[in-house]
Amino acid sequence: MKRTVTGIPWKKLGLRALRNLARIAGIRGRSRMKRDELVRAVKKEAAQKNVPKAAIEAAAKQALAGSSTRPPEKPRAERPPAKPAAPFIDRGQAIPLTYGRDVLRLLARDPDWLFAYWELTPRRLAELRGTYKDILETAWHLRLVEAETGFGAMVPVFVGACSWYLRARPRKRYHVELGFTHGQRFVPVLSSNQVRTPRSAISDSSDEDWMALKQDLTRLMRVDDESVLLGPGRVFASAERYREVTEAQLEMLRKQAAGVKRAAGVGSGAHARARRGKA
Amino acid sequence: MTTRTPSHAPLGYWLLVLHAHLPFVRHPEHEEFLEEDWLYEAMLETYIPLLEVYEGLVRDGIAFAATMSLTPPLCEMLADPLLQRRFSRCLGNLERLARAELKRTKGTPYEPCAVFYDQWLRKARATFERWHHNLVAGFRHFQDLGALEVITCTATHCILPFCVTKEAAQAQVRIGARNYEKHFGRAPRGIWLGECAYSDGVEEVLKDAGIRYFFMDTHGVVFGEPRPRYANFAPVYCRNGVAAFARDMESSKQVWSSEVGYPGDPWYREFYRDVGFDADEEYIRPFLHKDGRRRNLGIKYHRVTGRVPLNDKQLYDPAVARERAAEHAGNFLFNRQHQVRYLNGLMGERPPLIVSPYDAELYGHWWFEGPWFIDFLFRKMACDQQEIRAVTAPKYLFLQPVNQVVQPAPSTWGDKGYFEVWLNGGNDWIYRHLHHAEECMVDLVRRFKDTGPLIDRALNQAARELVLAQSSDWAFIMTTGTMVPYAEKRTRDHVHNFQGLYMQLTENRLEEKWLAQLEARNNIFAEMDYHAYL
Repeated sequence: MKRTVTGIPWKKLGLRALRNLARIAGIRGRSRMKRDELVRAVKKEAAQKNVPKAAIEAAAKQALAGSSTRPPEKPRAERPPAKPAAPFIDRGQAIPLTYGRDVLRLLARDPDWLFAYWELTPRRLAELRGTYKDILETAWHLRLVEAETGFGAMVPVFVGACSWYLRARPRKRYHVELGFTHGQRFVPVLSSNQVRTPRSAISDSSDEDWMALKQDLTRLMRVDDESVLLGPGRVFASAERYREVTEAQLEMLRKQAAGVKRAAGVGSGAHARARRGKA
Repeated sequence: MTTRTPSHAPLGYWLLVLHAHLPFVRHPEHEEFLEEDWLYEAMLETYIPLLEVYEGLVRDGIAFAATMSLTPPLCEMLADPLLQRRFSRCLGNLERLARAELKRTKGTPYEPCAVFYDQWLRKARATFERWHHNLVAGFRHFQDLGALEVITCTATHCILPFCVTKEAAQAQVRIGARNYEKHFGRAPRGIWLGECAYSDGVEEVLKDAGIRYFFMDTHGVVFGEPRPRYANFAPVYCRNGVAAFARDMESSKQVWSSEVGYPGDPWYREFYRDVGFDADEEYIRPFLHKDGRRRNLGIKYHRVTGRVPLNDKQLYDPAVARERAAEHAGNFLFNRQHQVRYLNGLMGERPPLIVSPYDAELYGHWWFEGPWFIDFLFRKMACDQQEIRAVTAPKYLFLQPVNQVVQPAPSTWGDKGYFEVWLNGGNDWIYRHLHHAEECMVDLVRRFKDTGPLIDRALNQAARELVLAQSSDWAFIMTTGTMVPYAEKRTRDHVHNFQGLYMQLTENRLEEKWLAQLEARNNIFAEMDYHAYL
């Protein structure tokens, strides 16, 4: 049933209000429409009850109210009241997503996992495309190579992810290669640094080696004489006494240490090492 | 007054390490900044009370030995005049609140507690004034007395194994050591590796900077190669003579554990009931930041009570809590005595060493009674027994210079013992930027070293931005999930600044004005020398 909406001062409605009504009605191409076209389209939609009457009346009321104080042409009058701004969260300044360098890096996360990240520059990809036409359609892999055995495990990856976690074994040296399969062959494109996964158990080796650091210790223990005692008088008053006490303690420690049987020939510095004999 | 000094050799030794660290947070561009409060809270609740404990022990002639790692960013912040002024303002705010609380709680059961806070804050103010607003000077004083061993840390608490260039790893340690010299007037002997992160080769970087020992988690030594004869109850030497000390699990658990640890005692102060959230909005608003958002202010009237909802917490009584801290100190000592007796039997001629490292902020900030606990513990250890004695690492090495040579195992003290906390889906994106910046820095220094004062300034600032970006705290925060935008901001900002400097240097268009802005804002390490990257 066709029905016209009456009592609305269509000519007084601002462009903005009309666009808003057009948006509510879901009229396509509204942003390119001229004023007359908009009025026609909105009228048509309003007649089909596609625009809530309340919205039209509110727009009309606002237009009339605006007309009493200022010319209705001014779109400012129709601007909806400003919303309170959403709290600004500062996440820092922009940084590059890529650096224009071909890189593949491997990090050991724990005994069982490695982390690899990479960047493949468009230039490198273009070069590769010169030789291998289908590189973007083909399957890309990370080849995880265990250094001791040379065994390489192929892990299919999405090359656009730019990073991947890889399962590994404890206490092994690894490096990875990023590449694709061409026919039956794996073509490595980037190669990473080598890492070693941490140990996850007590060592089987009980081959003991002992070292003494004698010479350095005197230096290590020295209380700096030139150091100035900073601070308030109250603590300062007992500082001398305190130093005497700690010095006495040190002397005692020295005596004790002299009693510790050390392996003969030790003491020429950090690199002297000796098997510890039974005292 | 007689001084208690132990007279004969003990059965074992105890090495306390308090790791004091906060990331460098300084925002002169904002009058108030939420994350700066981390420093003020730690100063008020941990560093000042610890200084008071040391003062008391020295005053009473109690021989004690403690090790503290004061990281370079923390030292820089504690010595920074702007942050000192802001702390003073923050403390003044709390003092006003405490006085208001005296009036508000008059005649209520809360009154004794309010009186306690008023006095506690006065004492903190007096300590702060006594050290002329510079707490680093306080710690230095006790180090110079020989009671406290202050060790350094990687420059910005970075994870050394995640540096891909040797130059960047070396620079982290050298910059840290140099900063230590600035604040403590001598070269550092020991280091706390950021997050205790060790991997093969770290000892070489330490030796290069003249550092003699470092601390590790238990499995760092226990999983070492060959198997360490005394497990983690004696230090080991790396092949180049740098000593590694490993954490004792049992003593750690007694304090750390949220299930069975001391801090969960029903009589101790409840962290999560704070007057900042409990008081009327109108009343508390003048004491909050200008944004009016409620936050922890540090005056808390409730105790842990037990596993009950926050609104069922009972009233806190500082006197009872202090008694509990004394009991727990006694219990801790008792357990350590048992431990050394047992270990002594196993280890034969070798007195065992128990290494107990903790985050310093645990004492005081999280566990309010922690500093009292340390106070009682040292007193009991000096006066009540002779079986166990507190030592510092150099003293122990002096006593026991012969140690096994072991290649330590890669490890951290984080969750699961390896690097997952700092390398997971939530933060792994940062490493490509950090690694690229590292390589650029090394490149910059090689190309532009000693070419002019302005370029020198730019290189130094580039080094500052790089080390600030490398701080492990950002990756850690991204994992824990609170304040994540701030951690992202800091990582991006420093990488952005670094990249800007890199571009300007390489394209020969250095903007002095922008450089000066960066220097004023990120002013850590005034003594920065980019030659550390050579």
